[in-house]
Amino acid sequence: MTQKKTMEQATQTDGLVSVARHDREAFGLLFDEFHPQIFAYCKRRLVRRTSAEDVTSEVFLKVAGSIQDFPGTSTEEFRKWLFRIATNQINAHLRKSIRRRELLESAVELGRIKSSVVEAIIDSHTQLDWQTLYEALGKLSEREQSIISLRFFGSLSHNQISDVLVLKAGSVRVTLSRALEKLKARLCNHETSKPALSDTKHGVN
Amino acid sequence: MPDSNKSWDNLFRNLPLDAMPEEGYRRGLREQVLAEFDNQSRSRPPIVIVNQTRKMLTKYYIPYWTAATLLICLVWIVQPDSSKVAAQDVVAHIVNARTAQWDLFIKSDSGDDQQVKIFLAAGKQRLEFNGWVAIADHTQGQCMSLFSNEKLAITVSVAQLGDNVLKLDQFEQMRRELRIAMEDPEHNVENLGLKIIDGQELVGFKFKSKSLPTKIWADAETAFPILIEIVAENNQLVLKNHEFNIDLDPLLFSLEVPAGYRILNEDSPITGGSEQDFIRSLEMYAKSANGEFPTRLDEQGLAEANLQYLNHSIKHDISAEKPRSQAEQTADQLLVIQGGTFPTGLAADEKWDAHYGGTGVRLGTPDRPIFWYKPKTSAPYRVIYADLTVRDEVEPPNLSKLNGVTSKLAKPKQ
Repeated sequence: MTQKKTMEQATQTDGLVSVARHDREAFGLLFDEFHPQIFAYCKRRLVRRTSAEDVTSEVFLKVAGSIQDFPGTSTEEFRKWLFRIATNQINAHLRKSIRRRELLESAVELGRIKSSVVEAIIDSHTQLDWQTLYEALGKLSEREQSIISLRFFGSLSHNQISDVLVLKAGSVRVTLSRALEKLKARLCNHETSKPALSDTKHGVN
Repeated sequence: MPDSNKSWDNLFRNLPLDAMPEEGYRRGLREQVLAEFDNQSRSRPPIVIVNQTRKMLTKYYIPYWTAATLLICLVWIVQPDSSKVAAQDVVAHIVNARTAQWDLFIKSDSGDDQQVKIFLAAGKQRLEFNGWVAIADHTQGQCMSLFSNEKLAITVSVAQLGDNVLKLDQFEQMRRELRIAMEDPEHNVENLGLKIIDGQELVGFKFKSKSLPTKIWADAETAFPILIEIVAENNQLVLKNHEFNIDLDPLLFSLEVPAGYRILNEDSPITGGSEQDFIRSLEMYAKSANGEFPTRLDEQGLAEANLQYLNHSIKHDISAEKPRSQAEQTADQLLVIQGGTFPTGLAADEKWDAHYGGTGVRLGTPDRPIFWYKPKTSAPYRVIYADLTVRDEVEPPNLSKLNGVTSKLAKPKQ
């Protein structure tokens, strides 16, 4: 009971991370809090569920193995640390061509992107599918992919991304802007030869 | 947020996939993670092997609690330095790279750390730092500095250095040093073992080098370089965020002065250093080394002297009451570096006879020759003295009476 009270206090005072370095239960609470976010981040980036599970597992096993060395004290610092590890793991995962191929194979099942959404970006009636988008994303530099992933798959702000990637916030803004321009150009140049499909919501599990 | 970002937000929000973890997987992972947490106070296992084992166990549907128990047992039978990554694998990423991009963090004793972004392609490099851009095309022997705040450009030609220009290419220099080290890895490469940085398990190798002692920390599973540490005098250089073989926009290395920029040295382009430039460089080298002239003046000696001078110059500017603008600092630094090319230009040309004798000599020492040269087929010698005066002499200085003389610039006296 006393321990539980300590947990509540720690959460309220943003001290959970400090407690979690040495306290199993506090660490479990951190896992519960952040596992869904990290899994979702990995899943949106890697599409394939087994890949997302593998990478998320590696992230949390690494965190468990090195939480004692983590110098931060706030949950925000912990969140950024988790996203940094997850981004590193995702990049390492995707350096193998077979995994990039698996990602694109899974992305086929996502179907076509809603035309109204596409038109807002590339200002044309080109029909695009999610596989094309993931393929174009994969052709960007690793850093550009990381920034786009953190921004749109992880929902992080520019300042948070700057802390995660140890870059200046201005540099993040510029790189993101350039990366989106490149992505847009690649999508514009894409000429789909597939027969038109209605907007789909196939979904991948 | 700009509208375009909103559109992209909207696009990714429409991603039709279920991003919720399955409960069975989440519960199992939680147990594993807490088992790992319980274990952290003991010696840390190589995560790679543990993960591989975990995958194997889960693949064959062994219940998680059994897997967790086995993992804990494995901790005690696995050697902590059993990474399968070899130095050769790590070096291969760098040596075989067609292009590269990374961030250079300069950590100084004064705590005034700096971050420089670097792009490298064969024979070309681009540095970006706080509104300053430096582009070098070693294949053309041309460099350009751009100062966005002042809208200034400085163009530099080092074409007269000929083949030596290639030796100024830092990318090639690093690769050459690594190749040399790998020729005798037993003596030149030290395995630093495993280290966890930002939760990523890295394996480290230390590469011995006379000019650039380097440590490389690479992903323990893929051998991909993550951190490169170079220890220079008073500075620690850390290279991070590496990307290799990416398609770099050729415009990054364009030597065309952007529209709206004024060329600072349009009337007097900085080309190969003259004797006068060289004398000023000698003065700067000595002043940045407690009054002593450089040990040698071959490429390696010059590289060391230039590095020491740049450190000294930057510190001087930082502590100055009225710091010069970045453009002024860079223009001055380039002149000193250019001046330093004078002796290597002579050494590379067979028509010249050049000698350096300044090793250990102090700036201002009277009647002490430190450098003399002449065309091989004619006289007299031009002799530069330690007080930076220059005289024409029919006879060369008497070598037997001088200490620290190098008969050739590239071969210091043994």
